[in-house]
Amino acid sequence: MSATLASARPAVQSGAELAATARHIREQTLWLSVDQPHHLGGQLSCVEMLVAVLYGHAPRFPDTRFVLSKGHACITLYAILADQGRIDRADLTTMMKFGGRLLGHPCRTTTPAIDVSTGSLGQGLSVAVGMADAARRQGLDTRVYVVLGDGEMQSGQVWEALMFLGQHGLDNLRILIDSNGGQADGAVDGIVSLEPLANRLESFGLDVTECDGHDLDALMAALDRGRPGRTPVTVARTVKGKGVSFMEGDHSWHSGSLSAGQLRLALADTGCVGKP
Amino acid sequence: MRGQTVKPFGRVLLNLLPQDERIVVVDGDLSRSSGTSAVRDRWPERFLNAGIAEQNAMGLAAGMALMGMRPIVHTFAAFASMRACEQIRTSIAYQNLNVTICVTKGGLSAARSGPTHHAIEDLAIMRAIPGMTVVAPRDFGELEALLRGLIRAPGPAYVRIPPESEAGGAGDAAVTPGRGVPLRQGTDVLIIVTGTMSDVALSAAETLAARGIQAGVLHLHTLKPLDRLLIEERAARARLVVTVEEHSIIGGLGSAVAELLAENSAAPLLRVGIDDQFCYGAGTHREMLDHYCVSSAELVRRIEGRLSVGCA
Repeated sequence: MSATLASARPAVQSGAELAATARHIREQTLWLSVDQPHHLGGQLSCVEMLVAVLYGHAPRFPDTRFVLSKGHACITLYAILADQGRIDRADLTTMMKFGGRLLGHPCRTTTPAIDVSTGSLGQGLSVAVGMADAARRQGLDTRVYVVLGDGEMQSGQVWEALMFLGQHGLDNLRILIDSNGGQADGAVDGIVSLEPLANRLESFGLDVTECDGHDLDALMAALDRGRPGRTPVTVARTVKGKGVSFMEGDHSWHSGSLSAGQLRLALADTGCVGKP
Repeated sequence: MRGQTVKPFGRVLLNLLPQDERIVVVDGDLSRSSGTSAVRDRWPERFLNAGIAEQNAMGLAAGMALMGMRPIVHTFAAFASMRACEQIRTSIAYQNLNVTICVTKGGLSAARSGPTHHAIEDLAIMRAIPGMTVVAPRDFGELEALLRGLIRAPGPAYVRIPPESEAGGAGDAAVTPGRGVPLRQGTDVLIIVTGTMSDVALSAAETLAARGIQAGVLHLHTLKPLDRLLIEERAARARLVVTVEEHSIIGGLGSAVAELLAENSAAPLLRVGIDDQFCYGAGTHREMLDHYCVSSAELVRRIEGRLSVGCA
């Protein structure tokens, strides 16, 4: 890439601009989720994280890659790519429909603005690590960002990759974990808990910080951290269905679609006026 | 360190890496076994040991390929094709990445290590993955020629490294992925082989010739894409087509040829390979092959038996 990113490089945002963008992307994500059975809870939990990376941090650097390892949060990513002009807005109308180019999980074959195809949980981190390693090996000034879900950290492959990072300390990689505490069958802690997650990550030799995953300033500060030879990991504590009162705390919104009536209620929560 | 000689696969890589600076070698704690340690010793910056973590190794290779490198990943066939199967399929093949998965210990060549280390299913598994090229060369000369082609071609490939006993073979420039290699002429019977089984077939063909049966031998180093035209042309003239492979009878060379001939030819087919079973016996590779796959004498017996019950 990133021919795509380079040709439509968004301006670097900060502060109030980022907050406004996050609100807009949350509203777009809700709008795109009407009658669209997908993973709404986890789309909304990672809005600030994706906005911080793709509007706040990555645009500062000449060459970046972004891996959405929790590929089921693709609607949020599509909303961002459309907003940044990196995919055609018209493609949103055929999202996940036959003949459309935006699949139910990010696919770089049909959507060139996607850097890495994902969807099978647990695989994205290894690919991101391979990209960061290859950049260093080739002397490239490339920054790689990866967003993981907490549920997918139950996969052994994730810990293989983390162990590798402990050994090789790639500092051109930023890992964000969307710790929303939920997975398909319920609370992560009630299925196979990851806690104490930060301690576990630290014990692997990673440079770990925890923050409120909906606090853009905190996320930006976490992304700015960096120590030579250590990979920064941010455990972003988030809320599934964030920003919509009737979704927060209701696990049934892990998946499912939004009716037009529910959209109106949700948009009232976000403070949206008129069509987003 | 005790005096180390470079293993045959290591020699192939030492020849190959200067051809393309994008090649990087990834191994999963089997570099001394495979010979990729020769790359680590010569060009440490072009070698990566991922440890005993094959799923991560395949993901790393995918990421490297996405950054323009041409990774060659090595592990044992059983671990590449089964433990890391989904990573090969989804992180590598789905993105059509130029990753060359080179495996040792294909078939029964892990012999006395037992069924945990045998891989009699790998070709079937890899053949089913969209866009995957699947090759099983007969010697290291052929391996080197194939790798030169595969490194240049887009998309992934699965490559069975021959046993080290097959260290010979000149790197024939005429060897091209996808093209079958006729090893012996003869129109009564067409014996199609892959990987390690050409010597067994050639020996059987000699015996058959002494008994008045002319058997041709066609070696397919590439199982996928299959050299359909060559197989159809040779099969059309034969009274019997025989496939011989160091692989389960399910899903490998025999299945690929059967799928082709069932749709395009009336030639009777005899598939020879490893029955649908785990191979519990211990011993040398040759002993295992003779018992669980086929020996030259047994191949002759099975072909004559089949001809005697009537092939048009």
